[in-house]
Amino acid sequence: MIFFWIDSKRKLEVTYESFFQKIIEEGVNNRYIKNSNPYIVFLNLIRNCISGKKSIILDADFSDEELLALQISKNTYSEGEFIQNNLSEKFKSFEDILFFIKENNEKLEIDIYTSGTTGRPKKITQLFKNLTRAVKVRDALKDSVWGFAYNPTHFAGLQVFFQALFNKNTIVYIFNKGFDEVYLDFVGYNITNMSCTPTFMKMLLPSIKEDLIDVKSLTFGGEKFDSKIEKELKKKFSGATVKNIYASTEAGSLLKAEGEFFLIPNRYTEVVKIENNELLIHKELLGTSESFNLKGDWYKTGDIVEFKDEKMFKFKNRKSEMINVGGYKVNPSEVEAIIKEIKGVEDVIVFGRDNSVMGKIVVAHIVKNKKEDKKEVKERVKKITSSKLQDYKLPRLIKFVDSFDLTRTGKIKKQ
Amino acid sequence: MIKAVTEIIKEIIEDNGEKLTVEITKEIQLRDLGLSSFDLATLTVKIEDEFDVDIFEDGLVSTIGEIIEVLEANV
Repeated sequence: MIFFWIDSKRKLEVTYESFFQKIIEEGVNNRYIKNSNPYIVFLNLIRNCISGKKSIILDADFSDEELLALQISKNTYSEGEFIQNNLSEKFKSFEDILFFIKENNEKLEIDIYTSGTTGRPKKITQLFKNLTRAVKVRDALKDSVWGFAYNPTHFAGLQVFFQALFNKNTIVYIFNKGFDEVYLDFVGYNITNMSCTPTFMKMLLPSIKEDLIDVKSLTFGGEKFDSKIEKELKKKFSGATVKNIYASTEAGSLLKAEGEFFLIPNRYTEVVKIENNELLIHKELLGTSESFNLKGDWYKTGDIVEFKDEKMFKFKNRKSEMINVGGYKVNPSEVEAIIKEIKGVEDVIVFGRDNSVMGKIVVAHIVKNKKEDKKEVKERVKKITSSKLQDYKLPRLIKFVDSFDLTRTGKIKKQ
Repeated sequence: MIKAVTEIIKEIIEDNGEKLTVEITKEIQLRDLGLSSFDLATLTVKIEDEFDVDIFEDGLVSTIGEIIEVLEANV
């Protein structure tokens, strides 16, 4: 009996056998997936998939406003419904399902949404082939137990899911819960592998009481690795190999490094290149989206690198204005557009400020109407932003200024 | 010093619509205050604004006492 999914917060323990039964169960399914229980997200994803339907995966905390901006309404939801039946004939075991996914990975599709550069999240349609490109299936991996530490609806989360699924590994859901409890999960379920953002690790480390020697592999992605935690990592995960990955929302995980220096592996020399110190990805590796900024066949990532020698390079910064908050990308224009509409606000600038906990935090400088009270405007801004935006997009510092003397990159504006 | 740090923590917790229910002493663990990673990030920038010190700069800080130590060493 192998467990597929363990979520102690929701008191869920699901074996692969019962997961399989749920997948082939007859009933109504929906191509639109928006659920706060990650198990349901993955169950519906696989159900859609074996019926040959494309899934549209939405963050559970998207507000109605954010959904409307994506042109998704309650009506659109019901259009996604279909009846699933007669699958028990076609699929006799979980292995049949894996086989089907692999066989059809050039046809099966999924829509995910990622912070857009134009003021709203952008839709990216991905083939399963791309989602599962980095998956490795090996005998040596068959006893792995994954600590699942990403949002399930984002690229990184989907990649961990498929990595575990294809090896029939157990997944322990440790995202969005207290870090003392995460530590207990590590001990109680013998977690061996985890992929997370450096910020997640920084938060987890103080809760780890004893060396977690069973952990074999740690992978960091989403933001620049913080070498300050290296010493602590060696003490608390002494048996783990540590890898950093460079991943883009458009193409998923691409490059791996043991320290901060990356190189383009031979199998990618045709599809990943560096031009004018910017990393470019060939369109073959991308999903499809209307909002890709393509230069011929190449996608400009906006990620700027610095070379150490002819081959090795490290990531420096981003050309774009996106704010990387602990691995989540926030578009300042999206936040500004919402604050600008609020009563009492005359003008606003939203930018990222350097922060040693999360890399960057979102800051809003507001010019208010002179007649309005500071405290009232601040309350209003907080209330309205938190009802209209996902948590990680909210400004954590709100300051009132007479005029803007900072640019969005946090630099002093040249007058 | 502890008074100023307490004020900042109180402000962050109240901004979340909650109330600070424990007395802040040097032994208190930051995670026992129920602070999220966003709250910790906010805490660092607020302390930075007041004392010009980044409390997380040299690595991890887990108790109030450790924050005070970093501040006293740098201010």
